[in-house]
Amino acid sequence: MDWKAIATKVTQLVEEFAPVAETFAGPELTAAIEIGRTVLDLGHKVVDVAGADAATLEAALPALEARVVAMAQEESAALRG
Amino acid sequence: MKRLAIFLPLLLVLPSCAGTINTAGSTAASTADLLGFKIPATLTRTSADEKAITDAWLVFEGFLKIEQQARVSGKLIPGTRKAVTVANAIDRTTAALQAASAARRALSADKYAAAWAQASAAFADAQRALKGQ
Repeated sequence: MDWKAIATKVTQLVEEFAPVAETFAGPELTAAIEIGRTVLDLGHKVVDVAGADAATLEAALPALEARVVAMAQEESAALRG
Repeated sequence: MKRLAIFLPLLLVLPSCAGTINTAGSTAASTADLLGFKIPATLTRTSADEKAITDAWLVFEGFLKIEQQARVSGKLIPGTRKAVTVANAIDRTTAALQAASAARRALSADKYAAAWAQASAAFADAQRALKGQ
């Protein structure tokens, strides 16, 4: 199954319908749309990783790790209030 | 909250879309896994190692973005018991993934498997806490 093609098509659909949905948006709907985009973006990235070569992934890992650790620290602090 | 509940399970489903990670170069697959990605029992510089740890960081980043939306939209209120529980699980997941990354770089299979198991447990806790279970 071509997951990349499926993810691309679903992303296109979400991007087409999101502006319409956001017309009626409260905070919950906006959050739900953003979560949907996040999940789709993650789907694209996971598919990309599956097709990537080791050297490319190895080179990108330090930046990825630093970015996620920084976000985790920020979110942890924000959640503690 | 119902809408958030619809999307959260997707995080659990997505990794399976990528199929099984090829663990070529490994002698056996560990029973420890994170979100369905099997890790090699013996570490070598294989593509599978990079893919497994990269996927783990990406999935954790996706979780953080969803948690952030829950916080910004007012569904997860900072300072509450639930929020602190999520924060604690985020800290434990971060530390365990960092330990797994360090063990991978050092080619230490035992430490990698232990850290991976800790990350898996902590991440499961974070998901349960965010979903209010």
